[in-house]
Amino acid sequence: MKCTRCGDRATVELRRHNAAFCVADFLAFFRRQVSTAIGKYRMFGREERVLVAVSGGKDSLALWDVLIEEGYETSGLYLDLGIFEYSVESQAKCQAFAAARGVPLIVSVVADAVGGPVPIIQKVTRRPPCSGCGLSKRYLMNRAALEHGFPVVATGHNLDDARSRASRPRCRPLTRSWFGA
Amino acid sequence: MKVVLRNPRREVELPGPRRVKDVLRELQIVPGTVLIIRQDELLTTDAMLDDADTIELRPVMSGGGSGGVAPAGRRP
Ligand SMILES: [Zn+2]
Repeated sequence: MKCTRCGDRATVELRRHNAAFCVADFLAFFRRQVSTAIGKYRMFGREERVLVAVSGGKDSLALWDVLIEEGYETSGLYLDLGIFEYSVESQAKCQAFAAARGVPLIVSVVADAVGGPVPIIQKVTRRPPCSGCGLSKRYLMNRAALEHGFPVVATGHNLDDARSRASRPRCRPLTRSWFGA
Repeated sequence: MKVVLRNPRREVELPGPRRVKDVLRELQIVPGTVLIIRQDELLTTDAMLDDADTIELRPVMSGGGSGGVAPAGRRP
């Protein structure tokens, strides 16, 4: 399969776009998609500081990366959910990224703010973990944005997340925040 | 060839040569729902595989999404 742009060997096939790309052209395509969406849906402007909620996973770090590349003034926000080694590891990934790119990272500890880590919240609320956890996270994201003076919160997801979100209305975004990827 | 699958992790042995899309059909996997990885490279569905190849089929999904999604494999 050949790259739709340059004709070299393609690595990524995007059936939805009826296209295939080599690595360099895929990155260019991805970045263009993000900036087109930001403009088309009037998500935010160049003068607005963006707080990027990062989990340490590929979706949110890719979003942060593309916003930095596009020249936005960003800070990362990492919510420490208190899920043991999982949280320690993912925080380290966010810190390494922030250090490598020379951008600030705000760390907010869920247990301090809402009175208990996610595994405890799950027991107390008897809600599925993503529900109690999602609500706490939304609240903390908004609170951190207000405290630190960010008019915009950005969260990164892939389409698989968007699909599962649709069937779980309790996890829908509560305020102005956007799908980044 | 060896095909490594995730969630749960398992390995399937299939005879080559055959194209990635035929491997996916054999395993009843919808193209576009997995990344096809050979060594450090992604492959497209028309790539030809032979007996000596090892590929991994990794589902396209999120780990710790920042918007209220549980870690991979722990979803309800
Ligand atoms: Zn190309």
